[in-house]
Amino acid sequence: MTDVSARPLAVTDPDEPALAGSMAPGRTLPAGHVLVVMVVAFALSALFNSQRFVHAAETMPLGWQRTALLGVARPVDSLARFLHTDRPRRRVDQALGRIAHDSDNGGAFEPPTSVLPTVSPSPGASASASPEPVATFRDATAAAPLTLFVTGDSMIEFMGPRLIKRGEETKALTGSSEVKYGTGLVRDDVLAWPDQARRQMAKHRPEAVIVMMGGNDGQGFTLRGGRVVREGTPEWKAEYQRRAAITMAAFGENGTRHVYWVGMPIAKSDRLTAIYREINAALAAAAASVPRVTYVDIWDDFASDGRYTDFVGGELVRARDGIHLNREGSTRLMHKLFAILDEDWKLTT
Amino acid sequence: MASFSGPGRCGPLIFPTIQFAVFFVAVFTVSWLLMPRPALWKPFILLASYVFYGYTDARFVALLFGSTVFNQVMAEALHRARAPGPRKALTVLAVGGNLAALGWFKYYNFFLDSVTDLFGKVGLTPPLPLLQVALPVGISFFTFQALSYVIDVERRAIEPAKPIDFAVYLAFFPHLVAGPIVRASEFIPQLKAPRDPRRIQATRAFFLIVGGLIKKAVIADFLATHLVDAVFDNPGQHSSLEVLVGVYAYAVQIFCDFSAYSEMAIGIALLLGFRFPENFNSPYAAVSLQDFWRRWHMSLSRWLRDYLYIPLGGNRGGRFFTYRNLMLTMLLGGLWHGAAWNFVIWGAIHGAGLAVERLAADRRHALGHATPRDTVLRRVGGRLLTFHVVCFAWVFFRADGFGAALEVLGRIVAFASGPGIAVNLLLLVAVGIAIQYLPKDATARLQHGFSKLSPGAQGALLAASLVAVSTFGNQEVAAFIYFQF
Repeated sequence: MTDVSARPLAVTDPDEPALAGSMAPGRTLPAGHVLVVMVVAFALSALFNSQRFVHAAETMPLGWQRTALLGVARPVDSLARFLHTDRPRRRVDQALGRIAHDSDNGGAFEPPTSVLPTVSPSPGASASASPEPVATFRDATAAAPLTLFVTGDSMIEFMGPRLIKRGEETKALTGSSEVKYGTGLVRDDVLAWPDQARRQMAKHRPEAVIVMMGGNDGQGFTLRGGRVVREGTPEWKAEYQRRAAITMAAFGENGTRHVYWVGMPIAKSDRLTAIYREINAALAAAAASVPRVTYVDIWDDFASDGRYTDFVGGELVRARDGIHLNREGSTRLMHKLFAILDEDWKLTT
Repeated sequence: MASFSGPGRCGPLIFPTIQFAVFFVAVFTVSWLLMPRPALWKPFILLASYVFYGYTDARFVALLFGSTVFNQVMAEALHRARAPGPRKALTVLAVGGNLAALGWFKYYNFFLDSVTDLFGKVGLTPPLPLLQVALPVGISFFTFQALSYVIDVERRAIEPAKPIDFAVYLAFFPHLVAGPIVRASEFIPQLKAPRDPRRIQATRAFFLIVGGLIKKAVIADFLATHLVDAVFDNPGQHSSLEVLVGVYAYAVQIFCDFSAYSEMAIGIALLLGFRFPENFNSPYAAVSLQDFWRRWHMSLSRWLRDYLYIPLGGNRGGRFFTYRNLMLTMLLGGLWHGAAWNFVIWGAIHGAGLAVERLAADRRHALGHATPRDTVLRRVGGRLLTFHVVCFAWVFFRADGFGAALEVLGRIVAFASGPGIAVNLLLLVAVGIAIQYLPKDATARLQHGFSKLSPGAQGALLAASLVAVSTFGNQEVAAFIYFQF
């Protein structure tokens, strides 16, 4: 049918396909045997990896699947602790320097009192607790460039490197960025941001830091003892604001550097839009209570008449999920942030 | 135990997740219970595949179903049509319909961006509306499978399958999202009789799945998050050596990522009693680009050969037409990967490389020179050259646009100094390249030993492998690269 010499691209003859099983060595097994192997494998791996099992379940979106999986994962974890089968994994994690906050939710958000700012649970009332602004900007130059660090969850994935690159074009800025995917202020069992902030600041020692996160925070807090605070309630808002203030203080180290905290953009989902509105109010209030923190509001930059839009200025700016900014959107945000940095640090003058 | 994290992102039901493990154990059990009764098994596996696919976005199941109905109707009409005129018209309609769906979902925005740029240069407004067109996962894969089906029916190479068989073939979940691209002639005959539940090639399947997990979580994702992403996002912040190693690391990453998915898909299909074609065969051990395409994404290269290169004329129209056909095939192969110019450039590099290889062979032949002797030196030289051409092309494939690719390449030749590279990263890159040279039966003895163990011991060994992957693999497992295609 076909000219064999006319086949420079592939070796396999379509009439004689190399099907994977046809060259399989080893004997075959019956279905029942295979099922037993799989069940044993999953059961043992859950017992020896129970923390990760719980973690995987907890990081799922809220819903029946998460509830069902947690209903299995938590008892398995309890059994693993009883049998001590969780110890090898725990020891490896400790040896590798990974954080384990498995049963200590909220611990990272209990900083030394010297770091903890006074925070009112109400965004409106926080203004009275706001410290005096300390203007310690300077004119950045090529000889003494501004050192910038950009971090947060996947919201900064594209924006961070672009902002650093744009800044470096002026020669008056140098820096780096780091994304911690799937994290936020709610789930300190996934990543405790105050601890992370201290580690990052100790390592990079920037003069200014830009932070953006919150995409994953549309969920309830699980406090010590397992009590859940549902998202959107006044208690949730107060706790979010408290955690934001503590994290800002950890980044800013008592005003030794400037922190720009970028708010969330409007989301396609009405539920998330309502939550992000609360998050932004909490962030703004927290920023007002911590020295040298600027809250950057971007809500209107990605909305049209107060409503969600995929397109801004004729360009598609949002990712398919209706949460993230796509590359165009990230570039727009980058320009906005660069303009703020330029005004504060005189990067281009 | 690896979990895909992401801020509320709705991902497909993908292999290395707890959700998929639960789904698969249930489907495996019911599938083998129903297997002796095809009238029940086929609707069941079809439903399971739709659930798998609908986990991404339930609306896309309608698209898959629509594609199934359209292509089955076309195949039956083509089979019935005898006169050349109607057959040609039906073929055009069938191919056009599939390409139109692919074009709408995958290429509309790309086309519009290009038109907008063009119009913008002369101060005009584009005549087409801006739309947000969501890209259904796996559309490129199942559309190519559907095309091969109707074309094979038109060529009288196969007869139309029963509608339920074709629906199962197109939707079968192990290959649905990212291949391998399985031909109807390879899969549908396997539906003719129930698979034997006493003879599952499970040992090989387990080795493929665990091997894939290791390649994905321990090598590909680790290299991506610790080197590749940083280097490609901002090459100016890295030394020339870091960028060079970053490019090699991307070559290893994309191989380990994509071949891992293929191996897991093949392994999962084997557990359900079905065989898929091999998709990778040590591609970085290739001694030429032609050899590379016999080893990389083999199911796609076979497809391109049989449904594009040969219909274009293959090598039957003389030298110029052969080079043109190679170039066209690779350009369109590049475009298959994504709606962006960097994929076109990637395809052009491979097309030009293949044409140059062909030109050299033709020239040698014309001058009456014998084919060069296969020496070790020649083979090593061929491998090094091929690997570096492939890496050069990967820069355009991975970079965020043409300018960004040039920036990466420019940084390599800038000889910028900087800090060294972590030994573990170098080691992983070396391992990723070294595994290309393992013999095909490298694990045969291990598999043989494994197959002799009791179910409990086999389960324990698999559990140990899963825990090790979860412990030492990257803690943030990214989605498979080929999901976007």
